[in-house]
Amino acid sequence: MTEVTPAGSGGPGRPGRSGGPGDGAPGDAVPGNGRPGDAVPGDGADGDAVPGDGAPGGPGEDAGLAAERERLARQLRDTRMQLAMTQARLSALEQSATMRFGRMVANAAHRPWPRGALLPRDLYRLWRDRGAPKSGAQNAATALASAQLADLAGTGERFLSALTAPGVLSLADPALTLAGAGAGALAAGNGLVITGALSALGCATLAPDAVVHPLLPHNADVVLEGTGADLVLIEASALLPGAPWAYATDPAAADRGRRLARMIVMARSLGKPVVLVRDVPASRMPGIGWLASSCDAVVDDGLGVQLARFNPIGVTPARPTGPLYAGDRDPREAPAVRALLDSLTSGPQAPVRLAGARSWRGLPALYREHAVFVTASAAQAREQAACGARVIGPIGADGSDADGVRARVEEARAARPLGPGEVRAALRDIFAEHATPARLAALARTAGLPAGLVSGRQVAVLARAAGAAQAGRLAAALLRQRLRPAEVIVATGADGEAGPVRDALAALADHGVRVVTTAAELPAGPDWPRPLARLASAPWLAPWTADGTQPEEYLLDLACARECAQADAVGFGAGEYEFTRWLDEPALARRDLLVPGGPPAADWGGHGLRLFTVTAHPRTRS
Amino acid sequence: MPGSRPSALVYGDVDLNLLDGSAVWLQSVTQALVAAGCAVTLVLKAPVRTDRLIAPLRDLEPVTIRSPHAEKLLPGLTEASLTVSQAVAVLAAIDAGRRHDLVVLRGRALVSAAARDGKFDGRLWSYLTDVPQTVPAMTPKAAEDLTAIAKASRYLLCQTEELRCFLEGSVAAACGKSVLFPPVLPAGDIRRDPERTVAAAGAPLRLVYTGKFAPRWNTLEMTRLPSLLAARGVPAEVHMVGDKIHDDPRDPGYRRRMRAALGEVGAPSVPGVIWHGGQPRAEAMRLAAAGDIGLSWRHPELDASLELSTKVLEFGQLGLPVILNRTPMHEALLGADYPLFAASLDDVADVAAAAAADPAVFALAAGRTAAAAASFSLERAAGRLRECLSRAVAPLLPAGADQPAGAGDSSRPALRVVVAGHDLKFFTPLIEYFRLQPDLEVRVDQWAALGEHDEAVSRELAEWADVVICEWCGPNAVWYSRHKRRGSRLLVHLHRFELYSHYPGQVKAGNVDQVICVSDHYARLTREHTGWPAAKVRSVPNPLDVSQLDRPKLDGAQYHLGLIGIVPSRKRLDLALDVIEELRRDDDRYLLYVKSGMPWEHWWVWQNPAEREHYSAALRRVQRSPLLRDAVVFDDAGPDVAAWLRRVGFVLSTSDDESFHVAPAEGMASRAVPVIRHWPGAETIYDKRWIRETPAEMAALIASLSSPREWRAAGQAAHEQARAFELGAVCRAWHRLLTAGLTPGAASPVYQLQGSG
Repeated sequence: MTEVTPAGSGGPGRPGRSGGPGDGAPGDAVPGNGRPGDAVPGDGADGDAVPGDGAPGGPGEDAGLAAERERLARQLRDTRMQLAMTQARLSALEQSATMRFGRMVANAAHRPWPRGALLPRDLYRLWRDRGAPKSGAQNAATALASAQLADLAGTGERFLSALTAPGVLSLADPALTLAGAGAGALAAGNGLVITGALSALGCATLAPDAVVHPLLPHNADVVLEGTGADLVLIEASALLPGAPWAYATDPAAADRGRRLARMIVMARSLGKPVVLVRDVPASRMPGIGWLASSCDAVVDDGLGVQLARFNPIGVTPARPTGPLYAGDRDPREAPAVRALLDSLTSGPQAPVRLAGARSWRGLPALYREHAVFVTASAAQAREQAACGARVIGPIGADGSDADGVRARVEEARAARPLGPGEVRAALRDIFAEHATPARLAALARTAGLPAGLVSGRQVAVLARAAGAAQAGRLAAALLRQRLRPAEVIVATGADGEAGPVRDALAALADHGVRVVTTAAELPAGPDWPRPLARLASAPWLAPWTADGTQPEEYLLDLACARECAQADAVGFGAGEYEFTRWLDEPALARRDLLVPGGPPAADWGGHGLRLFTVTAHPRTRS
Repeated sequence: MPGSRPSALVYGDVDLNLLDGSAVWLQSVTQALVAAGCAVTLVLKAPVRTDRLIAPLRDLEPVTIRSPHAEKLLPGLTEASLTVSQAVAVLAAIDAGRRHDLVVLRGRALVSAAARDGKFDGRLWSYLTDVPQTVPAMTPKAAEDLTAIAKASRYLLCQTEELRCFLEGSVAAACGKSVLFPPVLPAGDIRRDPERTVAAAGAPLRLVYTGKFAPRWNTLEMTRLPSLLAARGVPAEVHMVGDKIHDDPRDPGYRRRMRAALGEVGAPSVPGVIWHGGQPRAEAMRLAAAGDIGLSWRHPELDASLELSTKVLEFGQLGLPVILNRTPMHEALLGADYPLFAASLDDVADVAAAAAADPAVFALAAGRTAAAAASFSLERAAGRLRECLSRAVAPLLPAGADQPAGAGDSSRPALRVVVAGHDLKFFTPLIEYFRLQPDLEVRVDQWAALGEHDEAVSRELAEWADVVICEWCGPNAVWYSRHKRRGSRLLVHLHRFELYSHYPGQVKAGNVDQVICVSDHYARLTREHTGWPAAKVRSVPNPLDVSQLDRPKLDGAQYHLGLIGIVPSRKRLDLALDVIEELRRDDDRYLLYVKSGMPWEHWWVWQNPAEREHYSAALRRVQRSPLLRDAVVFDDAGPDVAAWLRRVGFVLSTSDDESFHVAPAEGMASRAVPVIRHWPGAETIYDKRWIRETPAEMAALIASLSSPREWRAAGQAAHEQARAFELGAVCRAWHRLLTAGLTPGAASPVYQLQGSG
């Protein structure tokens, strides 16, 4: 076997994931100040908080030992936090004008030439830059490092965390249930581990593509240490009412705000990047400013469309085309949107019907049941389009007037529902740009994490190339793919062909594709890819026939279908976006299914694996 | 008649020669104090150069204006304004001449210095400006400074509810002392003519801006409005009043661009932009009143401010609607459906056009701003101050109304009252009330622990007292029942745990005049357990500061259940989990917020295996139950209950047994709906409407109030019932108990609760 390593490829390491000094460290129980009114009066009411036997360490543990362990763990955590805060203050100080001025003058005194001669220029620059704002990270580090956070210790720390941390979240979400398994199982094999202040919807969105550990205000400190997460995510929508972190940026809940700030400082002390997903209008959360500047990065695009939830599986050509607004009217609508919706949804003959308020859990089903939607939100438009709907909007953002929107509404009402070809075309763009894995990859880049951590879309192409010419055609075909493979495993046939084949495939390596060639003999029949699968490291394998007829969307369509169905294998068949019990020839399959010794393809359906078909050429009309 | 009025010493770190918001505040607060009944001594920071703000105050009889410069109150004063340390020295000197009842100060540096000085401790009414307003800004140093200020202050006057809650959530000492004191709008007689049509045919829509010109105030962007509105078919003018143009180091060209856009007074450079230059306040108001819509649309960076723009209120007072940013604070002020919120310049143009086109939109907006402004009037401010004064200076009762027996009788020497106990948390508000009563003299015998005290001190106090109150029926009651002076009276305040201890049996019952329980049920139990004569045992509820707890609910509170105190296990956290679990079967918006210390913080609880088992099982449920795992939040214990209750829509009481349980009462005062398990005696305190037998029934009660309207109505009803526990009423009941027998025919029963029966 010969491997050509792509330029710039990273090693398998996962910084910040584990092995930190406090991973899994126990905390301690520090007494909170009792609230006047309901504490236990009388004997011992002035007692101290010394846990008895069976305290945090579990029943029967020596109380003294447990208490000491708790104390030391707490001390360690606090020290680490203090250190991180001090470092931040120190670097801010180093950047301060006073410090820079002092350093300039001292340098000039030490070295009159050339530093002394340059002093006027340096001083002018210092003066000129006096009003320049510091970077967000600088401000954040300084501000948060100075905050009063050490007073938060009251609710029991490790013991409370040990008993109440939800762990990897399993979600009661119909869409994910349809997708086949609990969130943890869905994410198994995917690399990214995410923790933080996350909404239930956020967890459901992330779960198929990452391992998710949501934190609660009372356990964030301790659980953060133990999860080994790559990334700490704060969703602004997780700070809205109805979520455990509700009101954390509201001045009326300074306690929760300090808990959130402490979580950020703790993440910093553990070397984990903190990213804010700003998915709530600023007008609903004016206090988010300090939070945004305290994070390492802020993203405004949301978590994207989770195709495991929003997909066209099961839509019927008979779905009604009466335009629907999937929600209720909101008094907080932007003025232009308000005016448009007033004209579209008011009165008995209103052209657009309001669906009313719905739980986020019911939206995928709603979107699949209707063929036409009007929306004011770009994110909602994409989710509806992913479910196969024709979408008018986001209204108010494109400058269209009421008459124009009304005309489009009537046109959509009269038209047939989108056909499979049109739906697939819409899905391709969503998959490439707006689906959750695409957003996660961007997010990982923003946070400075290795791109390989988001591994759910990594595909290895398994192919045969009998000579340089065939290899060259293969390389060209793969480079044209909209979803480029992560790996190409090529059987070269005769030994003498290996060198020319490798040379012909070099263009792939130049584009970051890992290329492996092997002279291994391949068996005839459907098991031909198995010896090649052994050499692949990507989680998904695509056996590639050498006929060269694959369109440029070939891999993307397969991967997109797989994501929608959360399938174990995808192949071509008569049904577009349909589950099946039998695949003639898997075109994309889980690596474990294709490695030598894996179950025969004929057994997959019989054992309950999720097999999915797409058509080679979807019809445009429904 | 200053002699009979509470005396207020007022100083703002503000130069009254300059006409700005802080100077107007100082003038207004002086007027409001006078309206509230105070005699005010106003001390000036700077020599008088113009008396446009001072002149109206000179006309008020109870106002004395002291000018340290003119009166040479400090050696070496020049024409310069007083420094902070000079101001504190001057104030101390004036106060030394005649002690004032309250000292109203504005400015954090000044208040901080005054607090450190210590001469005004307990009398400071501190109006803090430049307070940290975000979590990162609240450094340990700032928190320490504010703690010192709070400890020295009788009140912290907060401009907005947001500021008050943030302060309380960050500085424990601020809890209970922070009161709302919003901006005061001086009375004015300038109004927009309500009959005048908006942008009548041929006339342009007149948008008005008054104030400084600065990037974050979006004033340059506003100059584009005439053209944007013209594109929407609405002829419009923007009238701008002011002459301060900001010089922004981050945007060196701003000043030039802004100046160019303004043109010259009387000679516009941008069509439709009419600059009036700097104008006196009255003229600025007149120009604004001649317009149609006020502009207060700003950069979103300013949305995080915890202070309210007085410009918005002034426009409202003039009868003008205002275009402004949508923020939670502005929504609370004007309603979420206020039609003139804007987030962008296009939004501003859109809503202005909508208001010009639709008289109903204009009228709705103008009505909202006018109504909002009305609650910031001088009369309302005086009312707020009056309530504060009644707690801090004057007796709670207005003269002659429901006067406790013996009160106000100047011929009789003051009744000497001793309050003895180890834990006075319930009784502190009563002690504060007693200390304000002219007919009472109060001393406290603070016991170090339940059975620990300085016997010599206690003996001395027992000899001195006419009445002894033992808070808790513990060793203190046993001791005083054996050592009280013959002829003095002994009252014992029995809560709950004592009843099942050995202490009541050791009390010399014949020497006890009254035993006061917190509920009729416990009064009954006490009679049964002790055999004490029925006439000796009365009930008076625990007091509640309803006005402190009554705050606007946060958005979404309707789905948040609150549980205050989960220790010991008889509080039944497990049943609260049953309630939330049941609710979340149908609606996952419901969450349970727990505000409590933890059982392992109390060794006397944690050493009990049954207690440990209870909490382990309950907390494991929180982790394992799919309905609970992300639905329960344990917030920090602390005194910031009033701020915390803003996020709570229902307050649970799931206990096996309570004597009173303050938590549901606090919730009711906050307009949360109480949901109470039927513990023995609950119906003697609380309305049966809120009481249920099982967690399932409690959940059903909550679910039945799922519509916002019904939930609000229930909260309002509960709030009205909570007035039965109002501090003032409970204090008066205790006052009657203290003086019972001094005046023949004192009324009985002492206290009747709505839920009694």
